Amino acid sequence: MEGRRRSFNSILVKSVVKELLYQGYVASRLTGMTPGDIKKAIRASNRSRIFIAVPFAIVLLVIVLEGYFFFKGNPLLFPLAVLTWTFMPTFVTVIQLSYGASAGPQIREFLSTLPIEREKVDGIAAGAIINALSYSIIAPVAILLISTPVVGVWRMISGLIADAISVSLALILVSLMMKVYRKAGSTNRLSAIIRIGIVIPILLLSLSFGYFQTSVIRLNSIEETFVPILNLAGVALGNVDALSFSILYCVIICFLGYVAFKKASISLLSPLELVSSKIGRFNVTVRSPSIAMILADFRQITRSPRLAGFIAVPFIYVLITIFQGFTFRSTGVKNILQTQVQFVSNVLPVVAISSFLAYVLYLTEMRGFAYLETLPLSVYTNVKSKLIVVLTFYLASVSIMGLSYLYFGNGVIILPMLIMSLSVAASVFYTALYFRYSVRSMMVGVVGILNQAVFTVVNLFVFGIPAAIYSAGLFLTNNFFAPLPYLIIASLAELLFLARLLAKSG
Amino acid sequence: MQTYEEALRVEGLVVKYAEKVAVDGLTFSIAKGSVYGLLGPNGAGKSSTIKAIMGLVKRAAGKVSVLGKDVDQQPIFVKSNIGLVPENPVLLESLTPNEFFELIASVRKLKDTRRMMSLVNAFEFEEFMDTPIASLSLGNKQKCAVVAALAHEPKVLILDEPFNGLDVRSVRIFKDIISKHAANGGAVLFSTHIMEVAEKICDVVGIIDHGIKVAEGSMQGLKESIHGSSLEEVFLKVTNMEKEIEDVLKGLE
Repeated sequence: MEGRRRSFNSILVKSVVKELLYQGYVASRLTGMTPGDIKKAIRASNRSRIFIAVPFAIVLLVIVLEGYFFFKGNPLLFPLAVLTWTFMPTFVTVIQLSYGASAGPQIREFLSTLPIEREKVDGIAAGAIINALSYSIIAPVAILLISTPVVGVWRMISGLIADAISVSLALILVSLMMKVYRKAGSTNRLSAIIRIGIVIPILLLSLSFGYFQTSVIRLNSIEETFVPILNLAGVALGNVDALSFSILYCVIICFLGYVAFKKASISLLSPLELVSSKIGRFNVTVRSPSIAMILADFRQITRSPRLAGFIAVPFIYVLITIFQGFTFRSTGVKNILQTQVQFVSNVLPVVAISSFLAYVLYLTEMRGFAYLETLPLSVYTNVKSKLIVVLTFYLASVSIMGLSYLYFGNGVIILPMLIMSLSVAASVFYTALYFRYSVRSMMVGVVGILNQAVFTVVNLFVFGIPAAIYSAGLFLTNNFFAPLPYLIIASLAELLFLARLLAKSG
Repeated sequence: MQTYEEALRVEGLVVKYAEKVAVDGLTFSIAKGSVYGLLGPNGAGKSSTIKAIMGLVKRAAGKVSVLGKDVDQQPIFVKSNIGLVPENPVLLESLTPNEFFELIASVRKLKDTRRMMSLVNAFEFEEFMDTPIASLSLGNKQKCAVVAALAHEPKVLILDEPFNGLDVRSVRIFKDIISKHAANGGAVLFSTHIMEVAEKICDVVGIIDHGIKVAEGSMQGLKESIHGSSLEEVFLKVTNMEKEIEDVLKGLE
């Protein structure tokens, strides 16, 4: 009997996992998919776990080895790197799964109509989400085990504990965030702030590499043994007492994580049931079509739980730049190479991320994109709106960044940053082309993993070619002015080419 | 002599999804002041036809013109004169109806929003104006799509299963709006697979099956030529389903 029940539960979990992955995968894709596209989407959704886990695992391996070879004197960095890196796939994947599942009531209604107790329903829902995360949980463990011969047993153990703590903390945080978000309602200001909380893992990661690596953290023996997370440094150094305490803390955090997550899991898989707090009344203002589109874009991007945080990412790089500027100044390190490297490591990521903002915007409105196409909007009205939104965020980021460079005595960097807005604009045109093609070919372009990969690679080229030309010139000439004409020519050429293609597509 | 003025013309339309032909050489036209019923079983190609008219899917072949203008040559003119209620009311779901209607009114450059407001009142929808569309019921989402389609008083209405999810009161009001629209010289393309509804609303019907038009004519004309007492009977005869249904029912006995 017990065996039958277990298999019943595992079948249920398996079914929910499949639906969960599918809903998460297609949540922001166009509706009305053809049967062929749905089959593709189901296959792609099952594979998406691997596509997320493998790159994360590879980067973790690099981090693990880098932490071991270059920061031997900082034992905390190793477990901290594992903790912050593992946090990212767990946190982001749960948010993504929840966003997908909350698009429709299928999963919750399916589970609620089964003749099983509420507590079991919670357990199945939690089990399904954790199962869907399994690759992201297994990947760090595998990497740590593989790297044991290099980093040693104690570092590996500290990494494993950090991994478990990280997964639990991510589950606790996501449960709390979604609980408050659901209570607040999607149009509430508080929930807008919560949505931006999706950058927490990126912030943690930036802190880990931007701050901890450049800081000398001295821990006393009490901190190394008793203070949660800090005592992972003790574990990495082979302190048995630290190991005992960290295992104890880990068990407590895992238990709390599971309890909190189990309670929140069914609501994570439920649609948002928002009833406006006030009785609605007709309040429509007619604006110019462009302003109306821009407003709609801003409203949509700030309301998407999955994507709202994306707009904050460029500003994180701005913060890192400002932080590094102060660090370099305080240590007296400042030369032209330093700023060149800084240009590549801090400015280019802002351009790269901004060049994907249009993709994020289009994905946000994806479900309504086909409807928008039926309105009397010229090819450029919708694109213009995306262009203005993207350039607003980009120019705001580079202005603050440029001012900080000016403060640290290298204000000329603002020129290439401003010119690169042409590349960002070219990316908007390319993204618009991609989505128009996707709509007309009945979503095939959006659904297939291969198509998404092609989109990503081509978009990287769109911003990457002018950026690479300029960077090469920068390193060859040691001068920020000399390669500027090449940057202008390359950026303008691709912008005009893509604008022409877009005009033809209309 | 009455002149026949075309509001919408579809000629030799072919829509393909990879190798699958969804619409195969479809030709029909709708006169001003009439309601044309596009009927067919599930998967017959009705929605693909509408998507092709709206430019949402590529046409493999064929021409579409609205009020004498080619949809490829003058897409903005065409879209300005069409009001569409899609099969699935998938709108911009994170917006509230107020925000969504603001976008629609602005894009359509409405001079004022009085008609929009009276439609909202007619469908008893005002209390949901500040609720995100994502949280609305199917019926209320459909009302949202209907208001957005009618607000600019389009000359051509394209309705794909427009009564999906609507309550009896709203269906009644909407049917009346459709009739008045045609009486005032507007044209309606009404796609459905519910024969009773089509029989009451449509002046002319075209029946398609597997993407091919298998019958077309006025309600009375079709009944006479196909020898059917109702549109349902006509439909089952021209789509060769009568025998199939008999066999299925025998199997169930």
